[in-house]
Formats: sequence, C-alpha cells, structure tokens
Amino acid sequence: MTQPTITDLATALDDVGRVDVVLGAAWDAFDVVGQLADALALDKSSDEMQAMLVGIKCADARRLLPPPEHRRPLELGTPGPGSVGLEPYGALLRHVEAAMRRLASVPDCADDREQLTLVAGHAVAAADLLMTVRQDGDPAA
Amino acid sequence: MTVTLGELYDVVHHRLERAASASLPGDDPFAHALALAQVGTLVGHVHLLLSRPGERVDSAADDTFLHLHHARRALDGAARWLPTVDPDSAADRGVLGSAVEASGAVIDLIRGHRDNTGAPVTPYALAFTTRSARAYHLNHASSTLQSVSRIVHSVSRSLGNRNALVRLQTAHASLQYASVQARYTGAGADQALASFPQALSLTPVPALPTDPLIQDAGRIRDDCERLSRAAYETLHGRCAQLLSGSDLQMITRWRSLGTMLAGRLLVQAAGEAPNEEAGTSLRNCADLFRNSARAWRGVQERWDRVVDVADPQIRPRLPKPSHEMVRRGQVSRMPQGAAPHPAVEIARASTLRAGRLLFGSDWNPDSPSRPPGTRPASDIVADAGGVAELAQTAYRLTVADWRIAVAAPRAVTAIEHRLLTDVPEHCPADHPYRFYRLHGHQLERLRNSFQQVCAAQQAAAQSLLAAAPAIGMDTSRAVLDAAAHRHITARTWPPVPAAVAATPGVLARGPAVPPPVPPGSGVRL
Repeated sequence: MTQPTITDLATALDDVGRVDVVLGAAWDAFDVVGQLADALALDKSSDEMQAMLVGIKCADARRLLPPPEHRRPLELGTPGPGSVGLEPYGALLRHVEAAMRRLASVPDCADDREQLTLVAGHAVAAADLLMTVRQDGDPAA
Repeated sequence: MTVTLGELYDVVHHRLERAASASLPGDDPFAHALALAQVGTLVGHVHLLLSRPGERVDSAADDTFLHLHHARRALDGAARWLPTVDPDSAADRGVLGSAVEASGAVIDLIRGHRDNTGAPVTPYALAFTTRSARAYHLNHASSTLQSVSRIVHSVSRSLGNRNALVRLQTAHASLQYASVQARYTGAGADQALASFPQALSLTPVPALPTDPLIQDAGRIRDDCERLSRAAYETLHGRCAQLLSGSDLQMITRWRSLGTMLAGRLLVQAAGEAPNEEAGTSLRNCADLFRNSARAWRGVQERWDRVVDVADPQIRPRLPKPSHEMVRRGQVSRMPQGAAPHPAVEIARASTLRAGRLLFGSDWNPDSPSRPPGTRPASDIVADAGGVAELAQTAYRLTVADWRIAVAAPRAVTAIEHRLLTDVPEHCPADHPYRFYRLHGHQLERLRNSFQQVCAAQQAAAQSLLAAAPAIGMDTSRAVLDAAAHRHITARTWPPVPAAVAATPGVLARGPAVPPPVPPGSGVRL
C-alpha cells in the first residue's frame, strides 16, 4: 500500500458525520494490515510467530466490523525495510483505535459501545505486535 | 487429564478384588442383603455393557446372557428371604459400593459418546460395533463376574437361611458359568479399546497463566477431544451452533499457529530423544508439522477475502421506520450475529497452551514484546511428561486438525448463502456494491482448500507413528482413531496395525501422501 491509500483511509477514519464510512475504513485498515502480516509471516527477516499473531488480531477485529459498501479492496504494496517500514501501518492502526474510541462516546453508537471498545483494543494490540515483527539489529533480520 | 475406559475398568477390578477378599460379618442379615443388592446392580451393569453399546446382538454371547439371567433370578429369589434394601440409597456403601460406582462410571463413559436421542456425538461412539470390541467388554465382564461369584459364595457361607442359601448356590454356579463363557467368547479382544476416551463437552477451558505447566500437555489433549467433537457434530449436522465463516477463519489461523508451535516443541523433544535414531525421526516429524502449518495457511489465503454476513458486526444505526411501515408490518430487525463458536476458543486455548509449554507460563500472545526465547528443552520435555508423551500430545493435535479439516467443507455448505467476497475479477457486471455472493466455483475452492490440511495432517500423524517404536510412544489410541476415521471417511485413513509398537518401521511404508501446496501458489478466490 502506498502512502496515498493510507491517507485515504486516514481521511475516512476522521469522517465525523458518517459512522458507516468510519467503520468501513476501519475494516479496510484491518484488512490491509492483515494482508501485510500474512506476507511478513513468509518473510525470512521477520518473526513468523509475531506476524501470525498480528494476522489473528486483525482477523478478530475485522469480524466485528461491517464490510465497506463501496471503495475497491486496497492492494498491499511493499513496505519499507526494517521496523521503520512498518511504522505507517502501526500508525494507521492507532488511528483506527482513536476513531473507535471516538465513536464509542457518540450517543448514536451507544448500543455498540462494547464492541467498538473491543475493536479499539484489538487495534492497539495489533499495532504493538506489528512493531515486534521486525527488530532492527536482530541477527535474523 | 481425561480418564480412559481401560483405567476405569482397572479401578472396577481393583475395588472388586478388595471387596471379594474382605470377610462379611456372620450375623448381619442387613450387610448380606446390601452385598447381594450391590451384586445384583453389578450383574445388571455387566448385562447392560454386553448388550447396549453394540447395536447388533452377538449370538456367541448368548450363553453368557443365559447364565446371567439365571444368576439374576436366583439373586432376586435369595433377596426375598433377607431384609429389604433400597437399592438407590445403599448402592455406593462400602468397598463393594465403590466398585458399583466405578462400574457405573464405565457405562457413563460409553454413554457420553451419544446424545439423549442415542445419536453419536464423537467418532468413537461406533467403536463397539465390531466383534473384537465386544470381546473387550466380555473379557472384563468375565473378571467382574468371577469376583462377584466369589462374593456371592462368601455371603452364602455366612448365611443362616437355608432357602436363601440354595438360591445363592444357584447364583454362584450361574455366575461362574457366565464368567467362563465370557472369557471363552472374549478371545481376540481389541486391547486398543483400553484407550477409549471420555467424551468431553464443548465448553472451552481457557488457558490461564496460572495453569501449572505440568498439566498443559494433558489439557491440550482435552482440547483435542473437544475439537474432535465439534468437528464430528459439524460433519453430521448435529451441532447446536453452526460454525460461521469467521469461526472457520479464526480456527484456521489459531490452528496454523498451534501446528507451528507443536513442530517447535517436537524439535525440542528431538534434542532430548533417547537415541540418535529417535532424534532424527522427531526432527522429520517436526518438518511435517511445519508443512501442516503451511497447509493451514493455504486455507487461510482462500478465506482472506470472504465475509460472513451473520458475523456479530457493529451496524450503523438506520433511520427509524415510519409509522406507516410499522403499521404494515414491513419492519424487520437486522440479524444479530451470534457469539463465536466454542471451537474458536478451544482452538485458541490449545495454541496458547503449546506456546506456554515452549516459552513459559508468562507468555502472553497480546504482549507488545517478543517472547524472551524458548525454555530449556529438558524443562519442556519434563513438563510434557517425557518425549513419548510429548509426541503423543502432538499426535492428538494432528488427529483433531484432520477431523476439523474433514468437517469444514460441510460447515461451508451449511452457510454458503451467507458468504460474500470482494474479489474484483469475479464481481458481476453492474453489481452496485463491493461485496457479492460467492460463485459456485469459488465455494468449491473454499471447500477443497481443506484437502491439503487433511493430507498434511495424515502425513504428520504417520511420521509420529513411525517414530513411535523408537521413542516408546503408546499407539493404542492411534489404533482406535484409525478405526474411527475409517467410519468417517469410508476408508481413506490408513489402518494402524495393533502391533505397531512391536514392529518398527511398519508405518514408514504406508501410502505416500503428497506434500501440501506451498502457500502463495493457490489461486485467490
């Protein structure tokens, strides 16, 4: 995924007026990071287990979100080298966390507060795990 | 952790032996009446075990039944000359009572494999339909009846009532005949049935950091029993809750990781193997576990772009329906997704336990740091109960995974109307939305994706069984599983000879199983 698409999702996550757009963007964010994690699990310079755990977190979160109605599925590009290359994806997940916490405090989403908080928790956990997949200076890297 | 049929029968015989060696008070008609009531219950249990578990009536066992019938009539006749004992309240009193209790547990263990309607809930429910399986019960029945006849004899000797005495002599003779007949017809018993397991409920047992590591391997085996049951119920459409699309995805992911961790455990076990040959075999098994993990990953790739509309999704609030719509009854609620199937939590727990065995009890998959490293191999092997027990646990995982993979296509068919995908290449023209219902060929690919897991798990199971003689692994459960799997798949799982432990390498010559397709090479949906 290139920077503009992350930016697209980030913009959609900040769409205060449209709950469905925010939830759809969150779905896409977990989808693209999940794809990234699956690719990293096959990469020799990554920690396979940590990558698989990121994939599990993303799948677990995606399950709780409505799939987006429109927007084409995002294609995963090649991330930059080292853990720095994964940082934009970590930042995207933290953005998702913030968006979910914001929605959880909106009266319209009161019924879904519990699930939104759960998704926010998954987002932050996946972001933290993603940063452990590659370690700079790691002899395996 | 779970008890097996062989262990329960051992308890029955041990307690009966103690009861038969104890002397009865000479002038206590109540104690005599109680002992005879308990003997009556035990004979009833034997009758039930010989007649119920297998549906077919075996003519060879007819003589045993005839003698049992005579014995029961004589015991009832003797009881009329003694004080009345309420059989329910007195059943578990004394040493003989504890034997009655254990014998009741044998019946419960076997009954647990069927539901209230008598329908099987595990593949083992059909284990007692063969002659050699019935012979197993007959052998144990013979020992039980032998002990029971000794007890009847000692009661008859200490009784002062001649009328009862005559009847007890008849009962004693009939029980002895029945015992001898059961021993005779019980020749050729299938001893693998000693490993017949307890059927566990689908309630997951969470993996907690406080669980003692020494219990982890046992708990993983319990998880396998639960997963097997979920798979069997799915295969036969008997599950209370269908596996949803995301349930299947999560099970696939957790079992992929779990299989990888089990492979790493085997690498550790190889370092602690008793000799070079065993070490090499275990390393080979570990490689095949890596293949299996990759096979699970192949399934996962197929599911990446699939969504189940019945997932418990957060749904944006819709505008309130108009008064007119409510009046016309045109309002229907959005479907509310169900909680995940218990098998998801069971698959997760089994993986967590394998991870804790490898990295230590403080390993937390959600932790924002990598695990500190693998524990010393000697500690891992010691906590798993030794190399052979660790291999046995890994073997059970292959069996559970194979069963899930066999049942999964059925689960897909049950929910195929709810599955959507967003693969652009196959999106119908003019379709207004991103997601659309899966085409027939896409569903077929989803179902077929599990075949590679079946093949990989079979290969991993076979490699462990081939290594069994070198590492001293008990294969009786594998014999039982092979019979059960041949019921499931109409004979596509190779048979495991009962004498595998004594004939090294016999399984190494088994049918070759193709390696799973490496991930990434599969066509996306």
